Amino acid sequence: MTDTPSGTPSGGAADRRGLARTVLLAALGAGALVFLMVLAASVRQTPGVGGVLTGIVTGLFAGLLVAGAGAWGAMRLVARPAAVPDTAIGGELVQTLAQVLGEIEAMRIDMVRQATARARWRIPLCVVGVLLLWLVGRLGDDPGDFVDLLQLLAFGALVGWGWAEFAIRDQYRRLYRDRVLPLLAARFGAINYRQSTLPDLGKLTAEHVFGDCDSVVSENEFVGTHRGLPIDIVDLTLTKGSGDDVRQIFTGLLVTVELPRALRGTTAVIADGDMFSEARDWMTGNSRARVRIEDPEFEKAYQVYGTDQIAARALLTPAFIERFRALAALSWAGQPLALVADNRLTLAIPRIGHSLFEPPSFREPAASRAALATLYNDIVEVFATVDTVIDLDQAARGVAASHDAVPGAIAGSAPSSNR
Amino acid sequence: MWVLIAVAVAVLYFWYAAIVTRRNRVAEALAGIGVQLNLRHDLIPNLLAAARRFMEHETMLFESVTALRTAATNQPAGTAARFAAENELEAGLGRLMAVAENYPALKSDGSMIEAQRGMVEAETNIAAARRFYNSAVGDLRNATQIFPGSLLAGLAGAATPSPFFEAPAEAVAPVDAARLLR
Repeated sequence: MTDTPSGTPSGGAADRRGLARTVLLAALGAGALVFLMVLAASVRQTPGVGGVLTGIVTGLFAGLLVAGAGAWGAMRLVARPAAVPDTAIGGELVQTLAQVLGEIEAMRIDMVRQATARARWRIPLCVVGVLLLWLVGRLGDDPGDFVDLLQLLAFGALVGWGWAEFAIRDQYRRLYRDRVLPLLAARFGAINYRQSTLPDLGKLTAEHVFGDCDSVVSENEFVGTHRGLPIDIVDLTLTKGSGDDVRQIFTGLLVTVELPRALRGTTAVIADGDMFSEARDWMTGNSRARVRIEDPEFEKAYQVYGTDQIAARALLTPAFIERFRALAALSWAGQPLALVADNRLTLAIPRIGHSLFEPPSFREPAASRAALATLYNDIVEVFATVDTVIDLDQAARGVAASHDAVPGAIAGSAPSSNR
Repeated sequence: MWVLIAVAVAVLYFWYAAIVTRRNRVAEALAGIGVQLNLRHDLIPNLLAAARRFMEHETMLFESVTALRTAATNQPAGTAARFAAENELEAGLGRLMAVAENYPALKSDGSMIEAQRGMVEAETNIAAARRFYNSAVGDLRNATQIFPGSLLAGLAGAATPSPFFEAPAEAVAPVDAARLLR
């Protein structure tokens, strides 16, 4: 619903709501009509209880389908129109990166030409292949009919199209990222973008921040110095299982910041452990121990383990805990997890929503204002997250969160919030 | 009958073991506070040396902090007298930091920034050690004050409940904003 500044629905929104109500009522009426027609037809075709029951089931299905379609249409009418993205930064980027975008555009046109050339013979080849399969099937005991043939032809064409297109599409995505993202990243300071090397998750898995996984995918990485601290950001997807039984155990950002202080030992903030984890650690000689935090809400959501009780509490001050929880409240973030080993703070922040750093399709012009604005905003969002992570540390040390790297202000001798 | 007795003995033994473990945890936490306080003592000379170069007229303040440090060091570790002396020292350091605010050149001095960063870290660790201690004391009290822990506390050497650490009176006193803003 679009509201006017005064809070009353605007005329356009009121019109749409009225129309949506009409569509919904009409769809419900049509659904009821379809139900009755199917029921009557079924009874006429098969008189008796069997015909009635079949008519009810089939009629309900068909009627609900019609009503559902109407409800969907009504919802689309009422839904708030998608916000028009601010492409002003995209316009500025198109001008600034004109040379690189021009080079990418030349390569893109060549790639489109290649894809089209491939499609010209790969799609027909696949179609002929499935046609032969269908003909061979006709010779068997259960020959396929023409509906099967149509389905097979559509499937064959789809496979041929994918065969012609996917490899080139991936090649273009890589090219676009490798050429454009370093330039965008450089606008945020001493930051470099590179194709991600798979991060070493051994420590994170050993400390139960992540469960065991079978596959690790990471495409993008930003490294450099932000607010005077060395940082590393990778997007990460972890999956478990194979074949049809694949489940995603994590997708999001892995942010590592080297803190300007030495924290002893290892502290892990994990979502939950199992009831035998302490016994297992004891048996395997793992020296970590449960750290009970005084915040009941935090204790309910997380379990903290550490090799040094004092170091763990020096990190998990009330201010840190408050901001850590605030991180989870971000619109796109799930419940974050953390690992601190010596002076390296690693935060795993699950991501909800669209994929990050997606370049435009290679069927669209390279100098797309909207695509560039989206890429830029993705980086802005990631660095806002990094700022929050750095603020977490500064909050823990009782340092005023400023964007200066060195905490130079003379504060009271002790952060009173820690007591 | 024998099974019930065996179960009761086992329960009592495990409860006793839990009390001893928690008593030792309290001792460990207390020692942890001591270690952190000693680290703070080690940092104070650096802080004073850095400040003295800019705050020549604050001799009394330096002497007061030095005397408080000596007094704290002379008290036996883990005693109430030691903690009282440490609280005094903390208040003295707070006064020093407040006066240092009046010396802009000092605030931007590299060695002072470094000394102050060390002090902030030390104070954070002291606060963490105190929280660990309070958590350990809470666990021990639960184990000794809930039946049958109350019967076993004396046997396990935890008859006298350890006190919680409480912030010094100055830290919890209400702030008179009107006086500060005058």
